[in-house]
Order: sequence, then structure tokens, then C-alpha cells
Amino acid sequence: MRFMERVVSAIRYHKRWYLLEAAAVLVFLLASLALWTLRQATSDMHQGFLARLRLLTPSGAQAGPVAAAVNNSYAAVDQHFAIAWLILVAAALLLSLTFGWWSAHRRRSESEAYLMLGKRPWAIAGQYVTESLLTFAAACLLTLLLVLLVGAQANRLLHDQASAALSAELGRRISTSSLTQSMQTLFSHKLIEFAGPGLFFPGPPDASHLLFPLAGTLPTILGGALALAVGAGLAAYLQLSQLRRRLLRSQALVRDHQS
Amino acid sequence: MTLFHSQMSRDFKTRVFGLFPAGTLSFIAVAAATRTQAFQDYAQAFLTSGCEKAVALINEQDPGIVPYLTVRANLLINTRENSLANLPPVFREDVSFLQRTADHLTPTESLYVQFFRGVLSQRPVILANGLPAGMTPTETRAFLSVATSTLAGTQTRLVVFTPDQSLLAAHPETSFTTVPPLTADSAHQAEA
Repeated sequence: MRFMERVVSAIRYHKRWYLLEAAAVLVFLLASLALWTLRQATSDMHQGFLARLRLLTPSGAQAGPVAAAVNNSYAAVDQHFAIAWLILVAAALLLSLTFGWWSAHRRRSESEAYLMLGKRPWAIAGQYVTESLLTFAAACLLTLLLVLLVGAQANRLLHDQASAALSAELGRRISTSSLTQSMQTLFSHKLIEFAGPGLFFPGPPDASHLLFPLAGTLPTILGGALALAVGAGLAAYLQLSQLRRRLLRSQALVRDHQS
Repeated sequence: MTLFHSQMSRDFKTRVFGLFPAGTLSFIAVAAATRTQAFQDYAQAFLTSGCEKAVALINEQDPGIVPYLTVRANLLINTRENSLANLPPVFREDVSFLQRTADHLTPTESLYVQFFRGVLSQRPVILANGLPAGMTPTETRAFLSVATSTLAGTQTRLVVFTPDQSLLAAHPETSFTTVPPLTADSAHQAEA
């Protein structure tokens, strides 16, 4: 209880700092949700393509090299988004480490007070991390509100982006003549004809099955919280250990396990 | 190693408790220029003897008060209990002071908070690096009176490093004109 009282009081006292942190977290959360939604859209379109292909060639024997190239295109685009997300998390970790270091440096007189009272560096770092995680939770709630307000439009926009990325990737990998030839092979025994490259290229968005308009909520929250906790915690612990060593060398430091 | 350390702590405490009786105020005469060094040496002696849990510090330059917590939270920061029962009624009942955040305390208020924090955490020794320079004689007398009545009957003692000879003269039984060594080694060095 007393721990939470310290946490809440500290957030109130350093409110400008935590508002800045909440803004950074909000940007991370939105970027992460966008990347996961792009991945989800790519996956949906890939599944749609496979379903269409199965209707035409149940055995898959006639699919040919073009279908393989299409599959590779979907996989490549998905990989780009996955790598972008990993870079985003790494950037969040680095930013959290830098901000954590800066914050702990700004708060060194306060840290000194806790150390002199006998608090351990890990206990003080734990308080600072809890403050950051509470800010993270507040930013999550704000993100949820934003997603509920504009999530459907964002989903369509992101689907269009994923579709454009796939079209560009397919355009790079498959020539128009190969497409036409492949279409002729696939439809040689069918009564219907399929004009244009619509079989291979992404279809219209279908987000009706999504309860939450943007995908990747769990990995976003886990990745963000972990990056924040590890970065801020490590930075604070290193700063506090350094401060403690300096205090031990220069003057008395009272340790206590009581509170 | 632990046994040795434990024995060293016991010897150290025995010597300190013998020098400064429980429930009293003691004054150690030091020159103004060497006061902080003497205070730090004493605090360091507690640390190196493994008796860090036996001491609380009062230091105007480095009060160790958390600015965003209330005075009450600062007082109870090192205690398990949630009670201010050991405070004199005049402080215990001063709700507006207790509920204030501790970011703009005067040096005198800060002195009281540091002192009561030591008392509430039941540290046997409270070391003070002098009293705030800005305190008037009336404020000093008031603090010493409150400290005397608070410490009476407890196992805590307040040790103040001060260049003020009048304070030593007022408490001749528990005051020292030179800094008494806390460890056997430093005692031998002082004799040599």
C-alpha cells in the first residue's frame, strides 16, 4: 500500500515527464497495431488466394510456377512487416533505456534520499518501473479508445496499404505474359473465364470477422510492456548502483531491509 | 566471516551504547570546518561495522526527504507500523503539516522530520550534522526540548556534532569536547 502511495505520488510529481512518456508509448502502440493489422490483412488475402486457387485446382497440380511466386510474394511482404515490428520493439527498448537513464539521472537526488533511508537499488528501480508501467497502462486505455473511434477506417486504410504492397511485390516477381499464360492453363478445362489478374492479386478487404478493428493487441501490449520494463528497469538499476557505490565511497549510506 | 562480522557489530554497538546512553542527547564539540568530515566518519564507522540498521542521519545539506511524499509518508517510510503514536501530541495532531508534501520544508521543519523519522524507525542512534544554521536560539531550545522529551524512556539517543560550546555547557554529562573514537582501532590511534 505504501509502495503504491509512493508510485502514485511520484507520477503526480513528475507528471510532465510521464505525459511525454505516455505520448511516446501511444505512438509505439499505434505503430505496432498498424503493423500487426498489415500482417493480418496480408494473411487474410493470402488465405483468400489459396481458397480461390483450391477451387480451380483441387490437386494443386496445375498451379504452376506463377502460383508459387504469388505465395512467395505474400510471404515476403509478411516478412517485411514482421521485421518492421521487431525493429519497432528494438527501437522502443533502446528509447526506453535512454529515457530511463535520463529519468534516473534527473531523479538522482530523490534516489539518493531513498538510498540513504536504506532502500536497495532494485527496490527503487522497481518503483520507477512500476510508475512507467502504470503510464503504459494509461496509454493503452487511450489507444483502446482511439481504436474504437477510428479503428474501422484505419483497418480499411491499412488493408489498402497491404494490398498496394502486395501488388508491387507481385508486379516485381511475375511478368504479365506469365500471368496470362498461367490463367489460360488454370481455366483451360473450365466453363467460366477469368479476365484480368484478379485471381492472384489481393481481393477487397474483409474485416467483418474482426471483433477489434486492429489486430495484434496481445503482442503489442506484451512487446511494449517488456521493452519498457527491461529498458527503464535496467537503466534505473545501473544508475542507482552507480549512485550507491559513489555514496558508499564518499559518505555513509544506511541500508535497511525493513521497508 | 559472518560470525566475525557479527562479533564486530556487537563490539561496536557495545562501545557506542556505552559512550552515548539511551534516551539522551549528546553533543560532540567539533570545529565548524571539520564538522561534516567528523559526521561522515562516524556514519562510515557504522557502515563498516555492519551496523547500518542502527543509525539514522540528520543532515541539512542532504536531508534524504522524498519531495513528492507527504510529511506523514516520509515519517513512516522506514517503519512497518502505520502509527505516529510515538510522536509528541502537538505534532501527531498537526494534520495540515502531516498531510503537506515535503517539497518545500524549511530547514527547521526538515530537522524535525528527519529526527522523528529516526525515532519512529526505532534506530538506536541518530547522528546529526549540527543543527540548521538559520535556527534562532528559541527554535533551537524548542527542538532540544522536544527531542529530550521524545527520547526519554526510549532506546534511541541523539548525537549532535556542533561547534556551539553553549550546547555542550548545557549538557555537560553527555557531551564530549573531543570526538570519541568508535572503534578499538581508532581508539588506539587516538592514544598514539
